[in-house]
Amino acid sequence: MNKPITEVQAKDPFWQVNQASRKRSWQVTKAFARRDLSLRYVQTRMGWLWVIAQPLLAAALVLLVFSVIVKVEIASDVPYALYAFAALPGWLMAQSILLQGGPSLVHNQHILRKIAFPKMALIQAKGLVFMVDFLVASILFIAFAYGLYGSIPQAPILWVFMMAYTWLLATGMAALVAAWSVKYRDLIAILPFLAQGLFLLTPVAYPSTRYADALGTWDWVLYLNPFVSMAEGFRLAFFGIGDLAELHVPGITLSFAMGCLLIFFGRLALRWVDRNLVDRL
Amino acid sequence: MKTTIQARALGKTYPVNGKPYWALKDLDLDVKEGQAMGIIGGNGAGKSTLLKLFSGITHPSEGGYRLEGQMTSLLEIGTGFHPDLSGRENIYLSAALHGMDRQTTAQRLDAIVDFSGVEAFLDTAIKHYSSGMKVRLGFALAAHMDADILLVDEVLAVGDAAFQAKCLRRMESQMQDAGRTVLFVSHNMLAMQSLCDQAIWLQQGKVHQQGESHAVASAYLQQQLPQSHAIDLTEHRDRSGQGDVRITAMSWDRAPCSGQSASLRIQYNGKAAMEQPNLRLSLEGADGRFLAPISMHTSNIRPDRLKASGELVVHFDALPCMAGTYQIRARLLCKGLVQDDLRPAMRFEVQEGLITPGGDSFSLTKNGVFLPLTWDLEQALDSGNALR
Repeated sequence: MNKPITEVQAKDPFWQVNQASRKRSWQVTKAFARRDLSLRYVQTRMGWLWVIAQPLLAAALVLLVFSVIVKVEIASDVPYALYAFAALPGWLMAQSILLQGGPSLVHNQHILRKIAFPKMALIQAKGLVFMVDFLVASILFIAFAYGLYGSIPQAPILWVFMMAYTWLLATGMAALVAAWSVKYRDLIAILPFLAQGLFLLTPVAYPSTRYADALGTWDWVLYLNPFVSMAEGFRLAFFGIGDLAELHVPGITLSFAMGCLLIFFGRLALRWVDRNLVDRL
Repeated sequence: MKTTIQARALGKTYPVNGKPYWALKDLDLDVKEGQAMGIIGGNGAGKSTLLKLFSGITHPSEGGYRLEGQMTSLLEIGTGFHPDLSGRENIYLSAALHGMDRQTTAQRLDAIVDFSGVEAFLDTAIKHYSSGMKVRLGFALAAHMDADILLVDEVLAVGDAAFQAKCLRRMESQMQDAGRTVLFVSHNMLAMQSLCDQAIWLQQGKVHQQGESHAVASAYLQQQLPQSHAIDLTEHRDRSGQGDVRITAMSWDRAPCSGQSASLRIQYNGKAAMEQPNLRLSLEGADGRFLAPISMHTSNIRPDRLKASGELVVHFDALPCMAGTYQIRARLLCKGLVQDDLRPAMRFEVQEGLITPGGDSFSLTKNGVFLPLTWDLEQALDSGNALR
C-alpha cells in the first residue's frame, strides 16, 4: 500500500504550506459546523425558534425604520415590503458570517495551537451554519410574498447564483478579517461597527440609484461596496429585469468586481498568514 | 527498514523582543518505521517545537523534513472538546479534527467508550464531567486513532497512575501490532523508557545526545544535578501563564541535606505589585511523580499585596526529603490567575542525612518525603521497661 508522503521545506511558497486535501477540509468544516449548530441555542428558552424569529424581527425593524420613519420611496411599482425584504436574508447571512467568522481564529486559538487543519474550515463552518438561517429566512420571505401578494421568484437560477456569491463573499471577507486579526485584533474590535456601517450603506431597503441623488458623479465610491451587487442581484432574481427599470449597470458591475476580488484575496490572505499563524496569534 | 521521519537542517526561529530566538537549530533526525523515539530535554530545549513542526502546526524557518505515512499528533488530551457538548458529540468532533472520519469513529465508538469507562454519561455535557473523566475520554479517543506516525507530547502527565499505565500498555501493544512510529516527548523518564527504545536529548534547540533510551535518560538525569544551585530562569522559553510576573531564579541557600535546616529562595520580577499572590510549588521526584505540595495558601499565608519584584523564602527547619534527586514545578498566581508556570523550575539533589538524630535514612535507593509523626508504643511495652 502506498503511504502518503509529506515533504515540508522552509522555503516552500506560501500557497503550498499546509495544503490539505478537499476531503480533509470538508471533514473539518462539517465537524465545526456540527459543533456550532449544536451549541447555537444551548441554554436558551426558545431554542431553534430563534432561527425563525430572528429574520422576522429584522424584517419588522427594517419596515419600521425605512418605511414608517424614513419613508423611502422607490420608483418601481412593486410593494415596498417585498422590495426591502428581497435582499434581507442574503444580508443577514453575510452579516452573521462576517461577525462570527472574522474572530474565529482568535476564538479557536487553543485548538489551532494543538492540531493542524485548514484554517478556512473554521470560517466555512460558520458559513454553513448561517446558510441554514438563510434558507429558513428565504422560505419565510417567499411564503410571505406569495401569501400576501401572489408573487413568486422570477429568476430562480439567478437567485441561487446570488446565494453562492453572497456566501463566497461573506466567507472571503471573514477570511480577510481573520487573517488580519492574527497580528492586529483592531479589526475584530470594530467589526460590529463595520457591519452596521455596511448595512446602512448597502441598498437593501432603498434603491442604489439614490447614491447618484446624493453624491452625483461621485456615486461610484459607494458602488465599491461589494454588497450593492448582492442587494440588486437578489431583487432582480425575485422581481425579474422588467420590474426594475432604473438600474445603474456600471455601478453594479463595479460592485460585483470588487466582490470577486474580495472572494479571492480574502482566501489568499488566510493562506498567506497560515505558515506563521500560531507563532503570532 | 524504511525511514518514516527524516529531518534535515531543521530550524525554527521566533521573534522575541525584536530579536530572533532559535527554538530549534540545525536538527538532523532519522526515525525508522516501527521505532519509538523519546525526546527529552529541559524547558525551552525545543521538544514541543519539534512536534509542532512535524504536525504541521507551524512552518520551519530553515531546512525541512519528510514524513512517510499518515500522521496524527496528540499534543494535548481532548483538543477541541467543548464543555457544552455531550461526551458523544465531543468524541466525533475531536476525532474529526484529528483526521478520523465519521464512519470510522462510529465503528470505534463502543471501544472508545468502553476504554474510557464513561458509558453512563455519554450523553451528558462534559462540563459536568470530573477532570479525570474528561482525561479518560480524551485518552480513549487518542488510543483508538490509527496512524502510521504518532506524535505525543507530555500527555501522560495527566490522569491517575492506573489509567496512565493502561494507556502506556495500549500504546505499546499498538506499536508492536501496527508497526507504528512514535515520537514521544516526556518529562517522565520512567514512562519514556518503558515506551521508547531510542531517545534524543535536546538542549537549546540542538541534539545533545542520541542513542538507547536508558543511556540517554541516565545521562540526562546525571547532567541535571549541578543545577541544584542558583539557575537563571529568565531565559526559559517553555513556560506558560500571563507573564505579568515571572519567577527569575530559584536556589537553595546551601546544598540541601535530609533533616537539616534549609531555605529555598525564589526571586520574582514583575511589572506591578502582585495582588493576592500565591506561590504554588510541587515537589516532584526525578521522574516527575508528584511528592508534596508547597504553597502559600496551604500554609495559610495570604498577603493582599506583594512588591513588584522581590524574593520569597521557604524555610525548612528540617528538610523532610530523603536523599536523592528531586525537581520542583513552580507556579505563581495573582488573584487566582496563573502568571508563570515552570515545569520543572529546578532540579536538585538532597544529600544523605538523618531526619531524626540517631535514626536511619530508611533507604538510599528510594526517595520520597518523611512525614511529621510520633510513635505511641504504650500498648506494646513491657511494664517497667520504659522507653529510652
